[in-house]
Parts: sequence; C-alpha cells; structure tokens
Amino acid sequence: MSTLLNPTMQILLLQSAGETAWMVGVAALVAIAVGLPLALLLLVTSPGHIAANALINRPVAAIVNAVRSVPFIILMVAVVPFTRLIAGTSIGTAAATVPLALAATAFIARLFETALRDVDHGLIEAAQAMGASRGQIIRKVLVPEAAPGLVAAITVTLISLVGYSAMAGAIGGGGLGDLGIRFGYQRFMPEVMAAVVVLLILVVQGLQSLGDALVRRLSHRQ
Amino acid sequence: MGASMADAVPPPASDAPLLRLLDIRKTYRGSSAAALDGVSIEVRPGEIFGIIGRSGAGKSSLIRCVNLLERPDTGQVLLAGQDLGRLGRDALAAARRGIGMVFQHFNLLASRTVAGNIALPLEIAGIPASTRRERVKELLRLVGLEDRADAYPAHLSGGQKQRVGIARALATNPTLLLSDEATSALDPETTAEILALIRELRDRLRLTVLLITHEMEVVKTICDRVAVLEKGRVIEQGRVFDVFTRPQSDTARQFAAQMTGEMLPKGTVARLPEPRPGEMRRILRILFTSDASTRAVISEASRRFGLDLNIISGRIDAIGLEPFGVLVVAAFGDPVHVAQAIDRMRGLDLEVDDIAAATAGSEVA
Repeated sequence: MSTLLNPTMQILLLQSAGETAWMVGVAALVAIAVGLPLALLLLVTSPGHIAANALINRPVAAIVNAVRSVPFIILMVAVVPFTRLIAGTSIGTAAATVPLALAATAFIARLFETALRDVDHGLIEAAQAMGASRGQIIRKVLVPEAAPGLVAAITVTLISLVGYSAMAGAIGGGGLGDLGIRFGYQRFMPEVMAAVVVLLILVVQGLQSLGDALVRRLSHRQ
Repeated sequence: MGASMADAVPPPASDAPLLRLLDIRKTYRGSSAAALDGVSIEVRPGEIFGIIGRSGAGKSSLIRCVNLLERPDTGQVLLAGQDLGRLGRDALAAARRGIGMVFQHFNLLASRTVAGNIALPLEIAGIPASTRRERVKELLRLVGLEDRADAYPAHLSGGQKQRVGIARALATNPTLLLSDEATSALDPETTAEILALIRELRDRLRLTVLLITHEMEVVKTICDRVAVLEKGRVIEQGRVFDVFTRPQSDTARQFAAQMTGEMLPKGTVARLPEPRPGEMRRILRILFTSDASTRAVISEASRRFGLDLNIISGRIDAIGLEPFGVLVVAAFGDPVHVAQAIDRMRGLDLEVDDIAAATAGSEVA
C-alpha cells in the first residue's frame, strides 16, 4: 500500500482509520453499556417473564422500535439538537458518534434481548426453586448463560457500526468511508478507494474472527 | 384460605405430615377445564410419595404449586405447618431453600462446571466461598461425581447430569425433595441407578421426597405411598402395594397392568375353545398377595368344582419388598360351579377379577 499511495494520502488513511475506530469504539461501548440493561428490561417485563409489566414493556419496546425504524442518514440529522447537547457541536467525529451510539443501542438491545430469551426457561425455574431473587436470576443465570449469544450480538453490531460510520461524512464525521468518497470517488483516486475497501474488509474479517473465537471459548455446549 | 385458620395451625408433631396440600385449585387463563381441581395430599416425614398420572393430568402443575413456582388459585400449601402462600418474597425465598427440586431435563447451567452448578444454590443463599467449596466437595462425594467436578454439563451422560441435579437440589440441606419426572429422560438402567440413589439419600439424610412420574416402574421401585392423578383430581391414594394390587379406578388399573402385565395378549381370547353347551368360560385374574398364595388353589378348584382351568399367563413380582403373584386363567365349567370356585378363592383372601366371560353361544370379551 505504501508504494501505491503518496505519503500525504498514507497519513490521511491512518487518520481516517483512527476516526472510524473512535466512532465505532465509543458508539459500541455506549451501546453495550446501555443496550444490555435495556434488553434485560425488555425481556423481564415481557408477558410471562419474571417481572412481567406491560406498562413498562410496551413504551420501551415502542421507543426502541422507533429508533430502529429511522434510516441512519435521517437519524443523524433528526437528532442534531440532542447531539449538540451531548457533544457540544453538530459536526465532526464526536458529533457523528452520538447518532451512531443511539442507533447501535437500539440495534444491540434487540439482539441482546433475543440472545437472553434463548436461555432455557427451565434454568430460570430452577433458580427460582432455589430461592433466587430477580437480580440473582439476571446476574447468575440469564447473563452468563447468554454470554456466547451476547458476544455474537456485539460482533454483529460492531460490523454494522463500521458500515454506518461511512455515512458520518455527511455531518463531517470523517472516517474511512468518508475518505473513500471524497478522495477515491470525487477526486478520481481509485487507489485510495481500493485502499479504503481493502482496509475495511480486513477490519470486518478481523472483527468477525475475533468474535467467533470468543463465542467458541465462552460456549460450553459443544 | 382464612388468615385466622393458618395462624391456628399447631407446630407439627413428629409423625405429623411434613407437607400438606389442601384443596389446591388452579385454572389456567384461556382454559375452560381446571388443571388442578381440589387436590389434597399429605406427605409424611421420611417417606417417598409418588404422584402418578398421564400427561395432562396436572402432575406438573401440582408439583410446581408446592414451591409456588406456580400459584394455586385457591388452596393451601403447608410445609411443616407453615403456609407458604402467605409468605412475603424474602420469606418465600428462604422457604424455597428448604425444598430441593430436580427436573426431567436437569436444568443445569451450561456455562458452569459441575462444581459451579452445585455451588449455585449456595451462592444464592449467600454462603461464603470457603464454606461453599467444602460443601460442594461433600455433595460431589454424596452423588459419586468427585472426579467430574470441573467438567461441563455438555460432557456428562444423562445419569451424571441428574446426579449433578440431585447434588444441587440437596446443597442447602432441604427437608423436602421435589422430583419432577427426574428419570423420564433416562434409559431404564440409568433410571434404576438414579432411583436407587434417591432412595439411599432418603435413608441417609432422612429426606422426604415428593415425586411426579408417568412411569409405573418409578412408583413401584421407590415410592411408599402414591396418589393417582386424573384430570386435576386425586382419584386414588394409599400404600403403593394396596393401590396397585387392588386398583379401584380404570386409570389405576391400567397403571397396574403396566406393572403386572396381566392384560390379555391380543388374540388370546379368540384362540380359546368355546364353552360346551350349558357351560361357561370365564377369564380370571387371580392376585396372590398374602400367605394364602402358598395354597394349591388351582388344582383345588379343578378337583372340587370340576372346572377345566387353562393357565394363560402368570407372573411373580414385588412392589418395594412385598412380593405378589398374578395368574390369568381361563375357567371352563358349569356357571354355578365357576361362581362357587371364585367365592372359594376370594374366601382364601385372593383377589379375583373377571376379565372376560362367555356363555355358550355368546362371545363377550
């Protein structure tokens, strides 16, 4: 790659990769931190579950669905006031991270919920029979038993985030996708486009392999 | 469910039932028929009490009502005199620690090793790690799995998984063990092993066991008393030996038949000779339970009443440690003499059932 790209472009590529890593990393951390409690809330308040409560479940589910319904490019613009509140600005990498985190949270919450729901109800029943509290059921049964599924959900989310982050250029967020559009496409530099694509492929492959390896380690189902 | 009534329950005497279910009723939403329709049973300390029924009889709902995994609509669950239905959340959690439960599909955590699974109820009870380790070791020894402590459930056989389930259920030293079809997913050999283990643990730990099953073999092998459940009702209960040697209901009779195998093989009746004119043929099931079984009743009937007796099948078995024999014979002869022979046998304390009768010319099977 170094022979194909001039030094300036090499620096730009590195810089863009760093922006992508930042946006994806921060958004993913927020998504996991907020998405897991949200998923647990959605699960345990669902009908027939350990804290069934339609008054909580329905509105929360509706909000999550609403966020997931909005196309990301529109979401970015729609939440500008919120972005300003959090990031202090509506343009740039930090500003792009806010809608990314928001979209990723709604996305991962549903994936987490599905993974948690896959835990055999018999295990919850066994824990209840032991006198476990709802908190204990969550901490000692639901989350550890769903761990492989949760990791797989994180992998899928990270990869989706890499894709979404390409749209961050629309609000000056930078990143690899933005670089590919501005230099590779608009300035007719196919070698930049190629470099961006190859790098993204490597990143996605790497994330997937890492995720798969972790799932295998965590899974004792054989 | 009167509050004052529950308060008035005296502390249990030593021979008082450990567990009493009083008029338990439960109807699931969207279902017209009651799953449990007024079930009352008493389980005495140290006994193994079985509840047998076909699928859909309400067994599963009933056993789940004991530790309130399911709440009965009405009725009381009294454990050592304590009304579980009236307990608050924390008190119920504490009471549940005094009730172990094993499941048909084991319900072990795949993410935890054998030792980790057994430690789970101890963690839930807030027992410190050092005590936990000791207790887990003890429990592993108790069920013979010392060498599999670090294995994950996925690498265990069904029998080993259920041993883990039993060790886990006993971790918090419960007085009552609930068994929800614990052997139904196991092959016959492993079933026998697990049943032997449960009985041994009952004897060693002075445990009381309430189990549900659809397998006659389980009841016959380890239960002291049994209740037959049908459509959410107890239709018969008593000592296993009594219920299944003298079944009163069709369901109990069919379960008894599974055990004694005295149902007529298909086509047997058709192959028997027709009764001669003026005579009749009766197919009798004779149950030998007492010392009278040593008498030569068959040859006596033949000699004294002039009957022709054709032995169709016979079997000797035991329920618990009590032996019994079942003989199915076709009796041919004068109707009066046949009736006399039956009376004579009944007089000797034998159970005689008419399975099929035919008079000359009319075939009734």
